[in-house]
Amino acid sequence: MGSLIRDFWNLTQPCRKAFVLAAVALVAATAFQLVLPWVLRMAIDSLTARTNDYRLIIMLASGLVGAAAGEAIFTFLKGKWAAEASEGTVTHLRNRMFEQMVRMPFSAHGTVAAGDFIQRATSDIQTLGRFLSVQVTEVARTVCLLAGVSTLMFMMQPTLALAALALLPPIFLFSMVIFRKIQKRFETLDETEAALSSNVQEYLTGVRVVRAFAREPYESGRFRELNARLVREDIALSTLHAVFWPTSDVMCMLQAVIVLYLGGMKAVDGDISLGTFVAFNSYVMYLIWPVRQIGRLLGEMGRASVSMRRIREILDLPREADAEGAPEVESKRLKGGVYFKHVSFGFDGQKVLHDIHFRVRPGKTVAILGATGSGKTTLMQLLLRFHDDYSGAIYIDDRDIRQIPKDELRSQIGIVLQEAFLFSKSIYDNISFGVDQPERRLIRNAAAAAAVDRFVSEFPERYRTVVGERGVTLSGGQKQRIALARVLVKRPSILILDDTTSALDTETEAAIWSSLRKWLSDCTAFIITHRLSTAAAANKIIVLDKGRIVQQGNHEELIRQPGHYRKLHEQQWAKMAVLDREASRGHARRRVQ
Amino acid sequence: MHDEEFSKQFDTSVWRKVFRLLSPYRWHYAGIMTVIMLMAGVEVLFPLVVRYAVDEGITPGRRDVILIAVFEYLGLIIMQAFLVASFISGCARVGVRVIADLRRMTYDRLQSLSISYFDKTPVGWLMSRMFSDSQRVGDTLTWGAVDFVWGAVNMSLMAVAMLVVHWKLALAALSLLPLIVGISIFFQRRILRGYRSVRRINSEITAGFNEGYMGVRVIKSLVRETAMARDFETLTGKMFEASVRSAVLSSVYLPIIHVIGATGSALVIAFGGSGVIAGSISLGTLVAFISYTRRFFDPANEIARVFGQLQETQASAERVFMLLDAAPEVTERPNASNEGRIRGKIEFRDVWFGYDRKTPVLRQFNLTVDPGQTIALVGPTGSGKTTVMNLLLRFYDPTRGAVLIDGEDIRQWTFLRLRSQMGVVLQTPHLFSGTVRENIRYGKLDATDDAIGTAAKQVGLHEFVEALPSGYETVLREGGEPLSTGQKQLISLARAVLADPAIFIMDEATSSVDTDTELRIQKASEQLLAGRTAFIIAHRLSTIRQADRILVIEKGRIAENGTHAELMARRGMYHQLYSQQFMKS
Repeated sequence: MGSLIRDFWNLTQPCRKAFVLAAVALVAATAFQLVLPWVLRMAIDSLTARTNDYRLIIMLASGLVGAAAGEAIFTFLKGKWAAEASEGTVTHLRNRMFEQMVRMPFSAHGTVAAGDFIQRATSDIQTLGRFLSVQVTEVARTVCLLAGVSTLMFMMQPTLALAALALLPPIFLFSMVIFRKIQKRFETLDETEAALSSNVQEYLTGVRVVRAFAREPYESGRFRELNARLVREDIALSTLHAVFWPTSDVMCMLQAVIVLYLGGMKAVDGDISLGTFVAFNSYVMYLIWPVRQIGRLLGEMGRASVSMRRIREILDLPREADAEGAPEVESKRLKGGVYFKHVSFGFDGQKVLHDIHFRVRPGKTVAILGATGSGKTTLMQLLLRFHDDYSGAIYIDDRDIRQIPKDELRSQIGIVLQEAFLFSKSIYDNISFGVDQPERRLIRNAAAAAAVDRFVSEFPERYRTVVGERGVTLSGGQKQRIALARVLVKRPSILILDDTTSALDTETEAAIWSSLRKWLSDCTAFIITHRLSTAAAANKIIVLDKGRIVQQGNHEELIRQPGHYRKLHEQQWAKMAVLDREASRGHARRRVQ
Repeated sequence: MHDEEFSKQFDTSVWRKVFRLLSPYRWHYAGIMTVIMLMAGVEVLFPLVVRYAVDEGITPGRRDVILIAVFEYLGLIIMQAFLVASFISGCARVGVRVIADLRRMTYDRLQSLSISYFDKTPVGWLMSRMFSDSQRVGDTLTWGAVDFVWGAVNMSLMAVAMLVVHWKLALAALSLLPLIVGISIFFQRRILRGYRSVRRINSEITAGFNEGYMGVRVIKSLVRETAMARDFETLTGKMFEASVRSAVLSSVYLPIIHVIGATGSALVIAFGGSGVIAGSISLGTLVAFISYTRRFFDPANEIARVFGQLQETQASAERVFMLLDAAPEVTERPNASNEGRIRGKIEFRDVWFGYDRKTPVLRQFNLTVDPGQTIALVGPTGSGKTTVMNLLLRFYDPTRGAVLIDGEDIRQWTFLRLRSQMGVVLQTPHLFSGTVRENIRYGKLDATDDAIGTAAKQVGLHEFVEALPSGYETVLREGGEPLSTGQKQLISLARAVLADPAIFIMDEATSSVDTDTELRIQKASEQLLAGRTAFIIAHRLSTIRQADRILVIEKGRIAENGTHAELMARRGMYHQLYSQQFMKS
């Protein structure tokens, strides 16, 4: 609890001034609010005294309006400042969350699933925002009111004051207890609704599969079941509301009736004036509804502390940091010589790479072959310093990469991933995403090299076409081409292509490879591929199996030694040779006929 | 396609449709309305009881009258409590059911709509129709209507009560009523507009987080962290301004209403006070009137709020009905045949087709496939390969010509008959959240675990599944995370194998599988494809050499047709493609 309060306190740091101002305005507004019934009391008393003092009546009437105006001004100020304070805090928190998202090490992304993270960054922050803007202010207001009203009541008539406050504690407790329950049911309901909506979402994204397997009745059954469950849970929740509101209404009104009755009796006895009686009634009304309300808010408070914890967990994750004492070297273009020196690496207690050792001279092209899960992608992630906790060392141009600041390192390595990710911006903005001042000509050239221009011309808005959820849906191959262009624009010293052309048709692929040659001439390239023809063209081939290098060398060398590579190659060529023989026989036959 | 599109006009035909949603619950609804009117009436009686207590009890000093007044008051409270309880549970029941009905109706409509509709409509749009729009329509129809009726009845009855008790004083107090209503409408409109813009920016923020998270590898590898954070701060800055503006609007509105309420009390005291002094107005009447002026605000506010929402609700309803009225392009004929095993003879007869009218994708496409044959389709992107599959599955119908299976037009069959005998593996594998086993079982819902294991072995999936920490019980998240694309492709292949189809369709089914696995699949495929007609689309030509026939498709026509050997001998397009892939290096 203590740490929770400290968390909230730290949270408000950037907006403390606004919070203080809001608190001051709140006290002032409450004070004016309390004046109203007091004036009413004086008005009625002077009327019952039948002093016939019209001037006093007019004065009191205008006092009434004046007090209301004072209350209005301060309520407005309180609202404004409280909004600035809570919204400012939330804005600050959102920005921090975003920074954290892009700055935390890549491995941290594996520990928090996307949906979970987004949930924390959006609805949990919203819960905190509501907590600050509604719950905190309301509780503060009620405390102020309670203090002011009970003081005034005791000043007017102590016994009646006691009676007027008697039912408030049970009202408060009752609403707190019920709203804890409501909160729990609400969470179940929320889960069911989330289940229903992800059910529908999956149905919609996989509609082709559902249709292709004729599974409509099955899907419909699951939907109906969840839909009916949501109805049941919703009705169960509303039953609690149907119990709470009238019951608490009766409790609140009972409190009012107690004042009405006892006050009425005292007024008849002449213990209190009629004005005091009316004022008491007003004051009681001021209190009962807010007290019921804060019971509710405290009942719901559990949610805010859960959200706080969930946000805390993310913000406490370490950020990607550069090695201590990394020397500040002037940023110059790397030549691109790469040396992996006995590198071993694993995560989650599983070894992924074993004693990886190889050297690549600047400007050369390396092909990496290996089955799914053999460690190809991880190997390349190490080069980008997505992970630093490996044994052995990696050098680029004879500098240990852990000594090169991450930003500098990454800005010179271009990687194109297997599943290309594009931002929902225009194609042009996507291609120029990696550079600050995009040069039009460079972008054109890169787009041409990656064969982007081939399909862009089909869109009416060409390079201004927006892609993604709110725009045009591209095929896997089209996305891969844009991602390739995006990296080429950076003119990297080291280029990594991770199965980048898997979704392309043969012709486009061939076109891309031939135009890439020019771009590859001045950079070191790593090409992860399944295609032997691509591998054969490389200066060096590295064959990975279960995290170990089982073979390395160029095509000629590897084809001569027995091993994995030759086996793959023979399998493919043997089959082709048979087929080609058949083909020539068919050809010959036709000629004979 | 935007969420915030509005038609400004009040459209009675839309509202008629909206109210028709209530027809299964009309008696319930009538009951709720009766209760709500009674509630509004009881509300008006409270100040009158106070007036009675003051005038007949306190002023003359009669304790017995005060006691009676107290019991009356208590009676009203208890009556009100029962009314509130039945109103809340009644309203919730009807509201929840109407919303669930709408969700079910939209879902059923989506089930019947053709693939073309999904190709044109983003998933997010459909989700909003089904969830937020349905919710809004249902809420307005129940809670909104109830609040409105309560406000209107309550306000009128209050006016009547005041006029009956003292009409001159009533006129003075009521003179403020139009002002309150006007100001409420003025502010509620703006507050609502503020909410809308906050909501819009909020969804942009969610999208920003989402995109940042999904693209984090790209952001990091291109070193764009700072630039992205800066862009995001502009967005949160906009959010801050919009939220504060909207909060400030509310904090102007409420105080203004309070001041007007207090002015009402002041007017009553100023006018009534002299009356009390002169003896023409009783003190109780004055107290009751003060209490009434304080009670004006609630109903006025409710009416204004509902009024402001109407426009938004109408827009939601229009969008929901737009979805409900969408007509499927591909439909089952009423007398479609549902019986009969497919043997596997397929014929495309003079088929013309285009996704839009202007650009035909297939032009007079003719193709006959004998049962048991394996056909490979080859050709550049956009040549119409996938379209052939789409027509065979009846995702679309041809514009001209016909597709026949075993000599019958497939339009004369039910979807179930057609599709339940086809095994389809699509270009992008789609996995559902659930276990690996459940995902394979999707091909045949009553398959035994053994059958699932066999299917997995046939496609070379078994070994890798066994290597997963929980084997076949490994839970996949939405979209098949955390598997690689190749692994997902294998699962969807196993799914199709399990279905034991008469016709096999594979669209780039193994594009991301490594060479080793691919070779194994190829070896197994003789067994897999035995006795089935098969269509295979592949860019990797090594995959398709064993096909009985290879069709090279170009610009919607069959350019070349024959076995691998024949096509190689022809030295045409296929030969060229093949050489590009294998001969160079």
